[in-house]
Amino acid sequence: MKKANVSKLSLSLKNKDILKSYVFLIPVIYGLFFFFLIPVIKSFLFSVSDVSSGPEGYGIHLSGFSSYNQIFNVDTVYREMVVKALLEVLAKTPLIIIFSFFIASMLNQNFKGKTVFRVIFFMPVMLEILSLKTNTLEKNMGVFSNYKNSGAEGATVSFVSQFSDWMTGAGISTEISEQVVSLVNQVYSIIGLSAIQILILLIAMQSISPSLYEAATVEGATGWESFWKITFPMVSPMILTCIIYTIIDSFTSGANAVMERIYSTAFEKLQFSVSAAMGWFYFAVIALLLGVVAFIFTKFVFRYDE
Amino acid sequence: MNVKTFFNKTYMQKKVVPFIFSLARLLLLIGISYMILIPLFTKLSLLFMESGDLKDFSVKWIPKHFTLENLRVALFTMDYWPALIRTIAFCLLIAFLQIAVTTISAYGFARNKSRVKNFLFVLVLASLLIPPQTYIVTLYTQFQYFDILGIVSLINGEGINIIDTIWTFVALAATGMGIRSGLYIYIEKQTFSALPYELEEAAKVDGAGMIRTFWSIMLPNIIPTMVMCFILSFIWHWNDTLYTGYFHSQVGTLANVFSKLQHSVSDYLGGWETRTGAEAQLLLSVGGLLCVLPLVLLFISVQRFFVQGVERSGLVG
Repeated sequence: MKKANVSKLSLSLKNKDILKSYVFLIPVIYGLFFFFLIPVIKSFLFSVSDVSSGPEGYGIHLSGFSSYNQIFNVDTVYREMVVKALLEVLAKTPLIIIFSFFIASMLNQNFKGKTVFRVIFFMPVMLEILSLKTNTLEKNMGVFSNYKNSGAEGATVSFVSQFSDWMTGAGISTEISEQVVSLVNQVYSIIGLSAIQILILLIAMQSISPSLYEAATVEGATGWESFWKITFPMVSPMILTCIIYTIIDSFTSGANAVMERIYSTAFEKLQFSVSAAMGWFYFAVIALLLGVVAFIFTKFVFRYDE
Repeated sequence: MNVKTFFNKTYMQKKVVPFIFSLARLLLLIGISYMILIPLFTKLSLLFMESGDLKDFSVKWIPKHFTLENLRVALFTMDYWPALIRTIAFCLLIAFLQIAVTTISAYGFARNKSRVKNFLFVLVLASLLIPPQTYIVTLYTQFQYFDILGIVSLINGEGINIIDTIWTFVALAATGMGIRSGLYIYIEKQTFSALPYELEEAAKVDGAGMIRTFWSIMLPNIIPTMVMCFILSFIWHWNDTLYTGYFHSQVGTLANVFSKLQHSVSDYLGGWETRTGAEAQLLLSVGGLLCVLPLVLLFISVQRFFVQGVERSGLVG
């Protein structure tokens, strides 16, 4: 826009329109600059300097990458935490995507009571705070865990423990049975984390034109074939969106141990530069993962226009 | 019907197999729904239980000693009704502001593309990708010395501290940087892009200016999407404890009160160790239920509009 401004005094009609349309962007440009770019740059500066906060504000002195050294070599707990979070996300994301794709394709069908189910499957977004806060509160208060065994939740827990007993009895090594049990335990969290993904995929499936299916039926395609040849390719760009959403969501959720650590380092230990370095290292890991995933999947994604 | 017609091949294909499939689908959906709703159900049944009932293993769902004591205590310790009104007012205000601003920006991004705009849009997406926890500390300092383009310093000498006031949220929402604003900008931009350009051209030919075109031609077309985004924003503000915790811990939304319930409950019960865990467990459950129940009821009452927005949004386009 600047170029056009300098080179020609009288703007062409198109450039005038472009210039005018920036009126709509004034608030967001302000926000991007003052509430995003400046804090982000400042936080990067924090991570490479020594922050001392006093009564009259804070002072920063550049001190190289000592904070990064701190989190890589001195405080190795954090490093392990990040690796653990990464592995967990890698394990959970495919399960979440498969589950939400499965549920979305079921909710997409026409049957009585589908609205009720659509509402219920969106419910976890609202109930998030229950699972998130209740656990921390219970931990803080030292509530005895056996009270949890009341009601149906208790029934599931005992079922899982019976199952693990049965597996040990059947001669399966405890390591494998522990893995299986932790997977079963994660069913809850996978259902809870899939709500937005189900919504996105449902939107995508609903917007496929019915004429495509009609044409396929006329040509003699079975439901199974039209699912894999029409629904799946048409939805595949949204699957990529879902994967990216899942990765970001699980990395940044308040339940994440790394996030808690970053918070406590800043506000309980008051080591602002270390906290900023932790945040940046963590972000670098997320960005790398997102980059790899986006690179791999854009090769497979089907584009309707091509 | 005799046995022969039942095992007739076409009859099997047309009636029996689909029936079995739909039955299986229904059972599966009911099973998963049950798992989703369990936390609500358990908390509902705990609402009327006495602490003795928790230790009694013969009690599963229906309490033996029906009581409203938990509800009374939770309402009292959470200072519930004022908190509920505060929460609704807060969420309505901020969500409305957020959606208004993101819609305007989305329109700006969707039309008359230029290189600068594409760059700005990448920044918007980046604001969605970078976890807010990375830069929330420095954002905090931004609010400690808050200033609008130097105007405030000109009058006041230095920026003003707006931490612990509602203005932090207003500032974030009004500049499209609130909780997940990037997501709404993205969704609404997609919807705007899906609208035919001819619509705008026709308006232009008829002599409508940019703002008028936006207001009377484009805006009516994306109201369903806006409503959907508004509902999402309302829910996420209702459940937010990160931003409220940092910027305005006194706002006292229900989620905030609930996450601090530990202190208020132990104040009320007078020392934690002297009491049984059962009482605490009951109060926590009831508190959590009181925190989410209004939200769920509100959502159910407007879900029709939400579904409409979902169906009409141009996410895939």
